[in-house]
Amino acid sequence: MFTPKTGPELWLYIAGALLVSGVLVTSLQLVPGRLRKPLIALVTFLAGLFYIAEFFLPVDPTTRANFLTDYRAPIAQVNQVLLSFAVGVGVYSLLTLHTKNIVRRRQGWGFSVLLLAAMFGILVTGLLKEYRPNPINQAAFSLFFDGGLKSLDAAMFSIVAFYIVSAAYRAFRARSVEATILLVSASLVMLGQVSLGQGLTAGLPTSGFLSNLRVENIREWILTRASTPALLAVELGLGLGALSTSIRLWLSLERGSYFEKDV
Amino acid sequence: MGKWMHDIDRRWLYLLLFLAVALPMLFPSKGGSAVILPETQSFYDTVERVAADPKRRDKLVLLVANFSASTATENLNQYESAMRHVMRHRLKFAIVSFADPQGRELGQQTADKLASQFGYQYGRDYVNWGFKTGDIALNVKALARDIPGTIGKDIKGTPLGQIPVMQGVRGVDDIGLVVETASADTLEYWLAYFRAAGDEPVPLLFSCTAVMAVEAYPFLRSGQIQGMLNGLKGAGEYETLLQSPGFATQVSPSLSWAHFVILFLIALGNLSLFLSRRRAGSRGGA
Repeated sequence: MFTPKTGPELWLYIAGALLVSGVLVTSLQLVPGRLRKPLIALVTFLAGLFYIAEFFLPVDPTTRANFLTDYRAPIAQVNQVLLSFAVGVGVYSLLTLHTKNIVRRRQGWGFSVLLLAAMFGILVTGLLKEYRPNPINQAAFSLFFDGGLKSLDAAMFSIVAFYIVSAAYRAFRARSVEATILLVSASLVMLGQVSLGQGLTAGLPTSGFLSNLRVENIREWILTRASTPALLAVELGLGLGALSTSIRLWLSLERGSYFEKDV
Repeated sequence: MGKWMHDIDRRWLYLLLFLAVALPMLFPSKGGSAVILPETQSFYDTVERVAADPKRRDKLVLLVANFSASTATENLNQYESAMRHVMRHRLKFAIVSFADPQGRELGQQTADKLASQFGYQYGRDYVNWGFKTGDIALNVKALARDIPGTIGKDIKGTPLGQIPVMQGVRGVDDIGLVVETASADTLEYWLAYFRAAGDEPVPLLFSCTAVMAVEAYPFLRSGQIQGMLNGLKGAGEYETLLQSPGFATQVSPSLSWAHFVILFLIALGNLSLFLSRRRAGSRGGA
């Protein structure tokens, strides 16, 4: 429906978008306090109404579409743009908080310096790699992304394994019948998951009745037969809960500290 | 003895796990039997089926990289093997990420690594749509109807309509296969809004971290997903099927021993509980 713009036309569209956004934001600021909540409720209702109407309205059998269907992509793009603002807000928030830490020499201000240096480092090298691709810029980005972010991210997540070990020892106890069933099931699934565990019953035949006792088949049975109905029940409950919460949000009926704040 | 077991310093447990992971890497061995789990086999078979299907093999394969470096040990190895498999059959593919901005880069790095080996060229044989922020449900729902309209431009800033590999690709009916590699709960968006939105259901494959796999088994059993790679173990099995052993195969013994250490500690913890209960019982009796 809308095609990507390039060259002068693109700049014209950007200028137009900025102008319209400026007028819109200024107008919103002028809205009296008592009218702000109804306005938010109206926008929320209309946004939700689009997807509900688009889903329930009959479609043309040949095109499998109704008059709203072609607006899905532009609305998804609007959503992408709106969410992109959150990145800007996040960066602004980080900058102000950590700059204050550094200026006021608060405890741990050195970490703030490191955070800002890393943030700008990966931002600048990332942009240079995209728009001025050469071996130096690519190596500089790789230093931050592969040498820094990737390694630190992986290291952080791998630490979880050590907590699991500690928890397995201290918390995974057969204190009741239910806990014992859980413990035995989990142990069998773990054994069936890895080659050493599978090796324990490798001597059993691969077909016939005795094959059911192979640990990987027991694991398969637990995962696909025993736990599936329970999972489906949980999913159904979650789905119904999500539906009721969504309807309350859509109709602005949700109450609580966040929703009752003045805007 | 029960008290000693109860008061054991957690650092000994950490050391035990560290040795269980490190020693098999330092002193590699065969690592026991290599049973291919049914979900891995069906993952492999589905790619083979798509490649052999004249109706599907010319369509675009979506390699969705919804993960970050934190789960790269599992997800990146799965993703690399899936891309290798797709390239081996010379299928056209697109890289995209909806859940994590790192997916864009990790997907491209994987393509850069394999492209020269298989003679793949950016734009002609594959494309990177990049990371698309926003609500995943809205993006995936829009994608089913209008791919160029939802994505706009690729990572190089070229409108999708001008990229050779994207010629004729409009919506879900032009997609031959979706391979979702994820560290987050994103599979259901493809099931709800994409897989069955076209003339025929699109084959959907899922590769995920081991902790997420349990939640996907109902979809595997119902036939909504055609195959699954379960964590690092699944990646290792897939490498075996592809006859292309890599990192996942290499660390498989470490994974096995780590599981055994955890099982051993669970048993030890329960023995400690049993002994302390018996002690308390005998005191009560006295």
